[in-house]
Amino acid sequence: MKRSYIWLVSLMLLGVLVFGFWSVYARASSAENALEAAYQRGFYNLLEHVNNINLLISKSEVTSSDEQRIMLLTTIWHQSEGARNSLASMPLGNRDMTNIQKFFAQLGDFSYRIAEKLVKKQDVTDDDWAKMREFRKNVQSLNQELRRLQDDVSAGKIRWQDRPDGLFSTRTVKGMGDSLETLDQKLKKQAPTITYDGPFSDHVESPTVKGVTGKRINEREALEIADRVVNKITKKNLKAEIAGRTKGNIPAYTIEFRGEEKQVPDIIMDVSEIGGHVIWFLNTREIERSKVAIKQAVDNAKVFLESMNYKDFEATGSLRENNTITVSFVPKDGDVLLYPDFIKVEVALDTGEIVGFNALAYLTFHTERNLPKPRLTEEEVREKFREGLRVERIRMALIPDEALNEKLCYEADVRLNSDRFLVYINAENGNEEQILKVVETDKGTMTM
Amino acid sequence: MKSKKVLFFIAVVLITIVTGVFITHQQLQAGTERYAVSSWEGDHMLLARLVAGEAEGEPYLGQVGVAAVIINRTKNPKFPSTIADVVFQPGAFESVGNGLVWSRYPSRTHFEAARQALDGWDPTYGCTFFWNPYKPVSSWIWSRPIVTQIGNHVFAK
Repeated sequence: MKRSYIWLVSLMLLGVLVFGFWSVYARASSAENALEAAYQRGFYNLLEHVNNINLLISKSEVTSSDEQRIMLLTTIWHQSEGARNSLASMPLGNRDMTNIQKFFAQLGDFSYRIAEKLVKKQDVTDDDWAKMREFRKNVQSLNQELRRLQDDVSAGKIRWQDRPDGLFSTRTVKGMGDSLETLDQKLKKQAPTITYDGPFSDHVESPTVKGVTGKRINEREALEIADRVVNKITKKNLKAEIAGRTKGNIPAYTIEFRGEEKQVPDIIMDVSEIGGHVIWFLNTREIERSKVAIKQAVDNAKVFLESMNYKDFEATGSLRENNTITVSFVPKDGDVLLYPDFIKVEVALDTGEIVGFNALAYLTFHTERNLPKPRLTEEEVREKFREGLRVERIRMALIPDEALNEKLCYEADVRLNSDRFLVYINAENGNEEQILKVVETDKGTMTM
Repeated sequence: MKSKKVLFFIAVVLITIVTGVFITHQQLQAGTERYAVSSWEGDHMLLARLVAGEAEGEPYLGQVGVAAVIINRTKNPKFPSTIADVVFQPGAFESVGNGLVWSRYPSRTHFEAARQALDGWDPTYGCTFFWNPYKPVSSWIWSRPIVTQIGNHVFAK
């Protein structure tokens, strides 16, 4: 009697254990299968995109109609973006897959720029077509390699998740990541480096620094410069020390200021090794409730900027966030606003102190420019706007495009009903370069 | 007498297992519900979450740096082009893989750091990688040119 009890209970126990194990295993394996499916979808989509791109490029070489070519080139752009998305959906984030990503980004961007040139009836040079042919060569070989990979996948030799085949199998299945990484490294050697007018061109990633001038300074001089600036923005007695060197576009000393016996620095500042320019600083103190009027804060920012020897700047916008306000300033060359060379100043609204400063853009782009003479007059620009638009103001501005080319424009402040826009008309050829929508929020005026 | 003890013991084990399975099941479900992220200013929220997951305990500047790296990636041809695509690129961030990004709610500082990076503040001068040099990472990552170190993270292009 008692014995059978124990048997029954043990059996139940075993049953529960088996059920528990099975349910966990089932859940894990269905999750794994769902992941594998998502990754395989990415892979097959990539195959499809690459195949399409290969086809489209060859057609764009054959066609003798510009209209057709424009359609083909923009489709290449679309398919390349698809390839990028597929790549991003695969579990390759911890590997070096940057070359293959960049390849598709540039191929798409470059095709789009050529299509743009054709639309605008600009010259497409032999050099452009040569680059396109080089892209095609790479796409062709990529296509072949991916097909080979696909055969292995179909044969079950490769899958995404590297795990044993079954519970007791020792056969290891080769991971897909390794195979794609090999392709990436191959592309790194073969893909062309290209400079062209697009946001993904190689020159955009690390622009040539133009605004840093002067002679090299040592650590002591950097500390002196930093000290002088910090004395302008705080009455606290802080100790400065060199925290390290930064090897960015503008090599700099990083300087930290801290109160006595404090672990966390109050103020951090980068001073350039060449010329001793203050690139940026940040006061990380807690900021209490706002007491200072916005106008006062903007004035403070302007006064501080002038004390740093940045004169003849105009405040072009401000953003209020929590208890600070960040004011953007832009220098002027005569009547022309130089948007690429902006400087931002952040003011705490509890005391009106300056808590942030950033001149990276100014130091990167500012230079003595020979601005072209505008070919259009303000009146001619005014006539360009269609009926129903109200032009409130027109002024001159230099703006950067996505490829960092600077364009001299008329900036027209335009209203459509109650909506506000800034429209940029090229002062040399009358092209409409950009439209920004101006949105008033409780934080300030934003353009998007 | 003895068999009663055994019986009692078995009953306790049984109950523990059953409640264990029950609770994990409940938790899994609760976990999926918490995954909902407010779409209001989604980018800001996502960035703050990633900062919380990746740079908890780092100095403020290091947190801005991490957020800046995400933003720099969206502008770089080598990476996906939206903040969500960059954050959720499979395998890219440890805190997304292990769920920290969901279980840790960002603090005010994390939101502040994310906001400042969105406003264009970049203490890393355009870096697209960061990692903790005291932890093992793939060797290829060390081949990237290092720009600076902030707290426990090095930042590289």
